[in-house]
Amino acid sequence: MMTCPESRLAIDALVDGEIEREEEVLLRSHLAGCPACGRELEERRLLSETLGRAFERTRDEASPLPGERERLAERMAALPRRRAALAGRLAAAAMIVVAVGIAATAATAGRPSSEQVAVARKIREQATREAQLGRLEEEVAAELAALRAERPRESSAAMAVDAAISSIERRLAPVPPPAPAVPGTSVAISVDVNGAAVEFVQRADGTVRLAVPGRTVEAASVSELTARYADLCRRFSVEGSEGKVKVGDSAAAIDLPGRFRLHALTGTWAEDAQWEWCRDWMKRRVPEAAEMERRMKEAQERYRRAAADFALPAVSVDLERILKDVKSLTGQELRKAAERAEDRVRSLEPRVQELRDLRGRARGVRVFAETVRD
Amino acid sequence: MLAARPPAGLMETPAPFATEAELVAACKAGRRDAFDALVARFYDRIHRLAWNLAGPTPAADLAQETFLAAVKSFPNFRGDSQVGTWLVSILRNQVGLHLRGRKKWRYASLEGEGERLPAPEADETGKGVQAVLDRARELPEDLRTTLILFHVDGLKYAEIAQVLQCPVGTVRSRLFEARERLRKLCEKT
Repeated sequence: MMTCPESRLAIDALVDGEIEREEEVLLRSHLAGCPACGRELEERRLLSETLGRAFERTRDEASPLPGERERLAERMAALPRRRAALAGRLAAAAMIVVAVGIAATAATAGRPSSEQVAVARKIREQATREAQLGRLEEEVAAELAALRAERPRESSAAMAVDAAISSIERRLAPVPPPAPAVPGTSVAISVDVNGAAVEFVQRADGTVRLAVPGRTVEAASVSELTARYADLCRRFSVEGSEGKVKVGDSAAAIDLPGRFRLHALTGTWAEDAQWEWCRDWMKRRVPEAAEMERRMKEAQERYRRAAADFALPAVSVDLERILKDVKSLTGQELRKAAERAEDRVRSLEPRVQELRDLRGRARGVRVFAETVRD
Repeated sequence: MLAARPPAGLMETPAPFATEAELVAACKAGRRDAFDALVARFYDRIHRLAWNLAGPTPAADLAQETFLAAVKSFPNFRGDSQVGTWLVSILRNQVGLHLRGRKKWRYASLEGEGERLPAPEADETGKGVQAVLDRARELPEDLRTTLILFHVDGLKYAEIAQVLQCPVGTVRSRLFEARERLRKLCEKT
């Protein structure tokens, strides 16, 4: 058993994605019975996110100024001769060419104004984001292609993976196609929550309607409903995922193939459906309960690690080159260029985040597909 | 590193070394193009860390001294860690020397250097962020360094342990302690 002080240390490791599997099992078991540590987990997650955001905001300010690399190049070139000799005659000749080039550039280039530097940085950020977006699209497409190639042969496993692929493809499209009209209702709950009549319906096409006294809201999926109307859902105890919903004390769910179909239709994904199906699948193949649990945990850990890679693709855009172009702009053109770059970065940001999530999800589903392949 | 396509009319940075192993081998051989590639690949990262670890004024000098020390030490680089982590270790030593006042820094202005813009007026979120950063500066050096290596550089616990030459458990407890103190410091204000 884990004590509360031990759990506090482990919580940080969990939040940082650095916890060992055995420790995570102990921690989760402790968290299941300790609301105080559960709250601590949420607080530490929030604190970690706040710190990450705080340091991220210093990124631009902490970046080097133009000219620093040239100064470093000169200082490197001035290092004792015996080091340069290591490179041999060819490299020494190359050094002279580079040094002359840098000296010539330094002599002809004027000192950029602070405004020119700031605008060049904004344009570099725009170019970086655009390049990252392109790379992310390629990476998600590559993950999906690999996923299709590794698709399990067994029909129910293939169904689960196909649903994941469809849900990712739906969100990958820049403008998702309209969901096909499917008549009927998937989940319907009418219940009294703290004296208020609440009606929830998820239709067969995945769209949902939530009616509470004085207000009715619609959304494209349960995920969208709980995200967009988070306060309302909290107030009337509405939670769940596509095809499996709890309102107050009432819960309703359809079968797993139906839930997968809803995920594919709405472009959403819920790990709980995936692991529920995986557990059923494993029970049929691994009769020994402890061994089955071990394999489940192992698969979930591998999935989590694969899906948690949120690193943006590394790209390099040369600020000096941008500065050269920026120097030819007039004051008004500079301001317009800055505004355009800022607007573009702002408009790209949500898509970058979405593609990053989709890439993580596709990587996770590949681990899942590998787990359920016979 | 992948080269991005810059906006029209702007050229991209060449990336002549496809793998880190090639880059390391060329640096060990003392090739100038390899050192240029090393700077192109890691200078921003090292500068940002220096800025966060020691503050804005000595950041450029610390970053430069780190690369100069790396060039001198490359023959001794055994490849036990990634080049980036090794450079961070060197930076950490340089910052240590600087903080202990054993190295005089020039803080020379750079020829042809652009000026830094004054910081924009902070909105409410910005002020909150600034408060967190200010409090982080009040932490003891070992806690602050661990926190910055994790949150700014994104190093894993094991990599931080390599840089700081301490056990992974120490990294873990320092991170916990740093966040705990930060939380208390922020609550006070």
